[in-house]
This record gives sequence, C-alpha cells and structure tokens, in this order.
Amino acid sequence: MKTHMLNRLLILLALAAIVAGLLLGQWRIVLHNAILLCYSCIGLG
Amino acid sequence: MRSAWARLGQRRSGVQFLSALALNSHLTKYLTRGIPCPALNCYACPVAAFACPIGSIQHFVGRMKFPLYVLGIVALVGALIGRGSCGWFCPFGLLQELIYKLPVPKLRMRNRYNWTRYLLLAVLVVLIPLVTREPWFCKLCPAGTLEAGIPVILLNAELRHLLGALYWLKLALLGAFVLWMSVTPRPFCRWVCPLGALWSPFNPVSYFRLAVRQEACLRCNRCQEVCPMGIRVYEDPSSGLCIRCLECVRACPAGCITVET
Repeated sequence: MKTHMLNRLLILLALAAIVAGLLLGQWRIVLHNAILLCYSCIGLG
Repeated sequence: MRSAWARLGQRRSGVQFLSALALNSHLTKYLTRGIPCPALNCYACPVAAFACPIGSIQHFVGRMKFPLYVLGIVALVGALIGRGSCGWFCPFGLLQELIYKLPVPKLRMRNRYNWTRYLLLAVLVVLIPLVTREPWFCKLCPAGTLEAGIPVILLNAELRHLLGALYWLKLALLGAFVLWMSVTPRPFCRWVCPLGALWSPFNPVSYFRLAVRQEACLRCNRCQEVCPMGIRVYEDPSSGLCIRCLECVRACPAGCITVET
C-alpha cells in the first residue's frame, strides 16, 4: 500500500513538473537545442 | 498470468527494433524534437526524432535553469516502468545486446562499483556543465559518436577539417565500449549510463515491478544466468539495475518471478 501511494505521488509530481516546465516555455528550449547541430555530440568541440 | 508476461518478453527484440526505428524516424523531427525521448538517443543524429534527455539536462544546467520539463518526463517514465525503457526502447541497449551475441569468449563481471553511473551523472551531467557551461557527457558519449559523430562527418565533407583530438578520443572510447560489449553484457548500462542512474531509484516504486514468490523459489540461479544485468533476482527483485527485460520471468523453472502492479 505504501509503495502504491508513493507511486501515485511520483506520477502526480512528474505530471506537475511537466506542466510547470511547459508553462515556463521549456518545450521550446528543448526543441531549439535539439535542432541545432551539437558539436559536442559529434566530437568537434 | 506468468505465461502472459513470458510471452510479452518473447516479443522484446521486435519492440527494441521498432523503437530504434521510431526514435530515429526523421519524418517527425521538427514536431517531436521538443520531446525528450525515453532512451539514450543522440539528438545530433541526422535522423533523430526526439531530444536526448541527458543532452537536454546538460543544456539547462549550463544555462543555470532547472530542467523541470525534462526531469518531469524522465520521472513519469520512471514512475511507470522504472528502468524498463533501457530494456525495451533504448537503441544503445539493443546495440549492446546484438554485439554481445558475437561468438567471442565471454567475461561475466560481478555487479561491483555500479555506483560509477551515479558519479558520472553528478560530475559529467551536472557539476562540470554547471561550471564550464559545456555538455561534457555529450563530448565523451559513445552513443553520440555512433549516431552523430560518424554519420555527420561521413555526410558533411566541409566539417572534416574541424576534426581534432576530441573526435579521435570519442572514436577510441566507442571502440573500447564495443570491445567490452562483445565480452560483457550491457556494460554501458551497468557502469556508465546517467539516464539509467536517473531511473534506478524508481525501480522499487514503479507501477510495474518484479516480484518473487519466495516460497516457490528453487534458488537455482537461473535468473542470474539469463539476466543481462547480472542480477540475482530472488535476492532483490527491485534492484536499481533491473531493466525489466523479463528474461528471468521467461527462464524461471519454478515460474515464481512475476510482474506486479
């Protein structure tokens, strides 16, 4: 029962974090960062 | 119920291949790249459809912003399936399993010093990017070398004059990991992956969890033999290493390992 409650609490907190992040415009930041060519990933800088 | 989970486990390879294709489907990338994918999949890959959560976290840390949205998605996946994404959706996990099938002598390593993945998460994903404002895990990540470093350089001749020591270091690291993967199952997941480290604490409290009927267990260690993470499942079914691959569920001769929700 304790695990069950903790699981539901974590799901709620995760959803709240996603909504808060979306309200802060973080989706756009992630998108912008992901579309740029990442020189670190490629190994160029 | 056991047979249903065992049958599901039989389909895992198909799911892994489909996931690798979906995460790198190219077509939807301008729409979906703002969504962190539930796996370590490099967003510098020319065909990547989603954002790498570890790369995104470093980017936020470098800009001194708390990555609420990215961590929320990581936490949601963790709360639902724990490290299940590592076993079912991660293309780099699939690669490790394929390379381990190579007919070369094997080295089964015990699960010691697995805390290294937490150390790498703290140092390369948080602390150093916080100070230098550079994504240092990405600079060394072998998944990035494979999915972005090699194809981007092959496809763009104009970038080749920029190749330097870092590129060759990344290639050497990838080569070392490929050698290690051929002899030891999933070494990157067990000792290195910071995304796995983020999901590990969710394993004991995730919606889907492994459970063992202790009274029926034969202690035959068959579960540990088939486990790609080398876990003795009957001792710790909620281990932070478990990737929910269900190999133990399929292999258990007593049928005492189940999935509980």
